Amino acid sequence: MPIFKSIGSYSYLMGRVFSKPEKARVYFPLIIKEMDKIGLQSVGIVSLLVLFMGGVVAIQTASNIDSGWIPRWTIGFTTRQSIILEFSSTVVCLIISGKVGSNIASEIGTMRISDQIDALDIMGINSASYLILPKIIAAVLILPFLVVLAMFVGVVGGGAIAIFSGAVSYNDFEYGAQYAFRAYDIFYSVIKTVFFAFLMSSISAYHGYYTHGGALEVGQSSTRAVVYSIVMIMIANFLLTQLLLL
Amino acid sequence: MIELKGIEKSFGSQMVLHNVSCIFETGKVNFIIGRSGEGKSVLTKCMVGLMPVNAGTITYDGENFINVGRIEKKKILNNIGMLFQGAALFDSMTVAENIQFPMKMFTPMTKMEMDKRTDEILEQVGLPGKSSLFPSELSGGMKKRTGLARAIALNPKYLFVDEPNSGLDPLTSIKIDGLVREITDRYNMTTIVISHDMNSVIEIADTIQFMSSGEFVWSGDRHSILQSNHPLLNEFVFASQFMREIKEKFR
Repeated sequence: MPIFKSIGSYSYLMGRVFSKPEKARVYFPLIIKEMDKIGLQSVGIVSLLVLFMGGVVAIQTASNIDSGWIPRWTIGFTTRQSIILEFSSTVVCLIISGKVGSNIASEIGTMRISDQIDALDIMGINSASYLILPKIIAAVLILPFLVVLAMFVGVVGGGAIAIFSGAVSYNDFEYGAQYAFRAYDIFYSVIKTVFFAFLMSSISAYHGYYTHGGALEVGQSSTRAVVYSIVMIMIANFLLTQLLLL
Repeated sequence: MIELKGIEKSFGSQMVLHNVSCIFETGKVNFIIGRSGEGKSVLTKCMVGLMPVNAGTITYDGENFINVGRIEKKKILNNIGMLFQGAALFDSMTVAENIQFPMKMFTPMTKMEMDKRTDEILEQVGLPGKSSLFPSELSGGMKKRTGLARAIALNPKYLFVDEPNSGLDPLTSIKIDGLVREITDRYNMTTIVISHDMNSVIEIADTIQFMSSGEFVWSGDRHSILQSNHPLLNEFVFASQFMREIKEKFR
C-alpha cells in the first residue's frame, strides 16, 4: 500500500531530522534566516488577507441579522470569534502552506536533483537534519506570532471596514468584540498553529527531499507538498478542535 | 588505498553490479571508464555510501565501510572529497562559503584561518579573487574548479571525480585534468575519476578499469589501453573513424 510506504518513509525521515545535529551552533543562523523567510516575509500577505476576511465576516453577519431580537453587537462578537478560533490559525496556515510549503519543497527538491544533498551526505553531514530541522523549528516558533498578529488585524481591521461601510456602529462592534472574551480561545488557536506549522513544514520538506528526476518533478513535488499539507492541516484541525474545545 | 571485493548491487530483479572487485591505489589517478548505463555511477554511489550494496566489502586503507556504525562511517566520509558532474555547489552560498562549509562543520578553525585556507585553495585551482561570487555567476569550468576546491578543503585522503570534463571546452578540460593530477600528486590522494573522455584517460590516468554490464572486464593503464585487443574496450575507445585511424598509425 503506497500510503503505508509514505508514512514509513516520512517517519524515517523525521527520525533523521530529529537525530543529534553535527554542530548545533551552525543551526542557529539558519533558524533565524528561515524565521525571516517563513514568518516576516509573510506578514504583508497575511495581514492583507485577514483584514479583508475580517471585513467580509462582519458585513456578512450584518447582512444576515434581520431579526430585531438579535442585537447588532453580535457582529463584533461573531467577527472576533471567527477570526480568533478559525480564520487566524487555520486559514493563515493554509495560506502559508501555499506560499512557504511550495517554496520549501522546491528549494529542497532542486538541491536533490542538482546533487547538493548528495554532496552534504558525502561530507558526512546529516542532510535531512541540516536542511529540514531549521525550517521546522523556525515555522513552529514564528507562525504563532504571525497568527496573533492576524487575530489583531482581522478583528480591528475587519471592524474598521464594517464600521466605515455602515454595517455596524463603533459602539456596537466594540461591545460585541469584547463580549464574553475567553483568553483560552487564543491559547487554543496558538496550540493549533504549532501543530499546523509542524505539519506544513515537515510535509513540504518530505516531498522536496524525496524528489527524483528533473525540473518537472520538482514542480510536481511542490504541488504535492501544498495539497498534502492542506489535507493534513484540515484533518488535524478537526482532531484538535475535538480535543481542545469539547 | 580503496579495495572492493565482490560488490553486488541490484534494483529489484535487475542486477546492476556483478561481483566487482579491484584495488584503487594511493597516489594514483584511477579511472573507471565505460559506456553510459553500465554501472559506473551506481558503483561510485555505493563506494561513497549513497547507496547500500547487496553483497561485498569496501575498505578504505583497511577500514571497512560496509555495515559499520554512523560514527565509523562518518570518520571515513570526512576523508572523502567528491567533485560532482554538475559541481553541486550550494546555490545560496558564495564561492568562499562553499569552500568553507566543510571547515565550518568539521573543524574548530577560526574565520581568519578559514579565509586563509580558502585563499590558498582558490589560488591552487586558479580562481584567485573569485571568493565573493555566487555559483550562478560562474562559468562551467569555474564551477568545476570551485567544486574541486570544496572537495579538497579538508585535505581528504580519497578524491572522487565524476565526469570532470562534461560540458567543458577542450582547453578547460585539459586544465581541469591538470588540476586533478596536481592535487593527487601534491596530497598523495587515492583519486578515482569516472569518465567517458578518452583525452582525459590518455592525459592523466595511472590505472584504468573498463566497466561493461556491471563488471570490470578489462584493467590496465593508458599505454596498454591503446594496444588492447578486448573487443568491447576497442569498440568504446576507438568508437570514431578518427580514433581507428590513429590506432592503425600507432601500430
